[in-house]
Amino acid sequence: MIGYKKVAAGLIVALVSSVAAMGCTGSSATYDDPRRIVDPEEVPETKRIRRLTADQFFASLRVATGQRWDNEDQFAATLGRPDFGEVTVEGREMSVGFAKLVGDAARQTCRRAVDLDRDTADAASRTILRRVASVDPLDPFDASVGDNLRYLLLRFHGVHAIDDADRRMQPWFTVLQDGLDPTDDARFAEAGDRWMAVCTGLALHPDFLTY
Amino acid sequence: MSKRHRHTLDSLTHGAHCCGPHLGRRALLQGALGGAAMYALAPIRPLLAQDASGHRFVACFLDGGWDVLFAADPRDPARTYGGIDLGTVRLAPQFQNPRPVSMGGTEQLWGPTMLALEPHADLATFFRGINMNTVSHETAQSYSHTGQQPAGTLARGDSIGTVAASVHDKGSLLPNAAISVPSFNRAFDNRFSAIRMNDPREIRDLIGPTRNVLPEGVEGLLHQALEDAYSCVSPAYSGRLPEDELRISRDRIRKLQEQDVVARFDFEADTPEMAEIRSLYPLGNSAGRSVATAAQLLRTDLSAAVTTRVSGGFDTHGGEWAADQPQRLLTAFDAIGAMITHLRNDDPNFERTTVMVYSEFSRTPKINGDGGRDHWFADTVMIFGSTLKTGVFGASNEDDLGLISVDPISGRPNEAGIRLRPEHVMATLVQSLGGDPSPYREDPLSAWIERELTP
Repeated sequence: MIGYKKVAAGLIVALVSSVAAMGCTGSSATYDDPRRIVDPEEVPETKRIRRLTADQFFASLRVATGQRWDNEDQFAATLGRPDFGEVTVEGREMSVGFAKLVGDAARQTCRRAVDLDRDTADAASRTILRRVASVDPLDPFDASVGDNLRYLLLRFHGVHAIDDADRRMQPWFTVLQDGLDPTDDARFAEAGDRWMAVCTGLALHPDFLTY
Repeated sequence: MSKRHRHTLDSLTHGAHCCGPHLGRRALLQGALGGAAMYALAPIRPLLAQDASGHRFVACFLDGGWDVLFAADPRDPARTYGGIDLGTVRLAPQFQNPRPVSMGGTEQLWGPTMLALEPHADLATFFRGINMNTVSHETAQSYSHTGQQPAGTLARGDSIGTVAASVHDKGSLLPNAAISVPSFNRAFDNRFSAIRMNDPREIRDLIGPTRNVLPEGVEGLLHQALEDAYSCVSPAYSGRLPEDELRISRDRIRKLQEQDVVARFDFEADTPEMAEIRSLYPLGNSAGRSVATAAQLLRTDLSAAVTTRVSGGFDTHGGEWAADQPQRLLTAFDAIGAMITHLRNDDPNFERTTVMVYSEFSRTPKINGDGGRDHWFADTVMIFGSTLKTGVFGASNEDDLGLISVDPISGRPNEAGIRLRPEHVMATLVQSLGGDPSPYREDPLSAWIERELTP
């Protein structure tokens, strides 16, 4: 027998989904997810989402950007690395400290990676700008930009985007090109900073920091 | 009603399908003009508020096992004790004689290292003769931080700072901070997990300006991309998502940076506030820096609770005991005394402040063959505040610093009474702070609660 509370909860979910979908698309289309709503309390410990540990984050950042953060050792404990003397449990809190330090780490390593790539003529030897046709000048409207963004999505998030229309690509196209005129030479001025922003954003994305 | 709940980030579930159509959470966020999204994010909103009216809590940890005979459980050197070797002749003159101090109308002996704490005797409650039930550093530390018997060395309960923050946080940006000590959060919301620092100076990195900042326009685009980010989590999931957690943290960082609170931790700065701090605290040592940072975290309303390792080096098994133990205690208590003085400037009677001073265990009453003292389980905890009655509850055996039973009402020796354990102390403290004492599985010592705070 279906209880009153379940019926009420179902109605609320349906109403919320409907309102949300209308707010998003302006149409009345609804998302038909066949699965029931999952309560976090019901999820087994082994299947719960976790943020990267300090060492996982350091290693991931080194792999993704090819650079090592200078302050790894200084802030490892603050990011939750246990010393197995006093602390035997990995810290996994998504705290302000974590957000601040991973931000500093991502910015430093991405800056170095992009700067290094801009000095590297051989595309295959680059880390962030590997699929970009030319790094001198670095053009945010180059035809290869989409290819490079797909490469970065795969590199940072393990996501294989098939084409440039993939909605996961759009924020990064915006970071690269928003406010710039594809025919104005001024577009070259900030290209390095914008690629660094893309790199940083991908490294601070929840899909990079959690698993 | 218990305030304990378990909505931590770890409790987020991972969807079975990854990055498919994802209208659920995204649509909710993008449709935020509707009340539905506000409802969905309701648990987050209080975090963004700032209200500085909560109670302040500091836990000061002395690492290594202190010698309570120099501190809160001394003996009169004019007398002899069958089971205690005071070693008086080996001590520098200033460390030979405890001092009588009035606590709650009764004269008590305070160790000679506690001079800086004496002006605060009107706020002091001592729990003496606590059975730590172990002489292992790791086990005793977990026990003393949480007040609950650990599983081996693994803490099973929540750090007292976590508990205090959960009760009294009113939306501060860093509700719970831990300086050079581990912090445990088993039962409370993720926002009460401590922000940990290995060194107090790290606070400036944690709340300071972002490094490698981009040009303003590009920074804005990056910010927007992160605001719009959504994770690869099933839309069927009903809990808080990683992007929401990250968004809260980024918002807090932005507020911290806008308020430029980092300047209030620059102890070298040429400002009246920093000049006062330099005059109060012994900033030349780590003890002074730790407690000054703890006090500033509270005074700036960044935190509701701070746990700090004041100093270490108390594990004096050899001949260094005679010189190092009392000197290190003196250094630690000088720093803590300065902090209490500083906090009393804002709150003279500690109406909204509580300071706890503790170590994982004490040291043996007898001096060993190497001229030092080993580990001993009869410990003491000192609390400065207004929620407990002033005075001394409990006792160690006068003759040998052993464990004895005490009356749960008066706290005086009574063979029919209780053996004081950390659980009793924590349950009493937590109840007085307005928290839930039930996790400690011991009745609070209600007769010693002066007043219970309202969360």
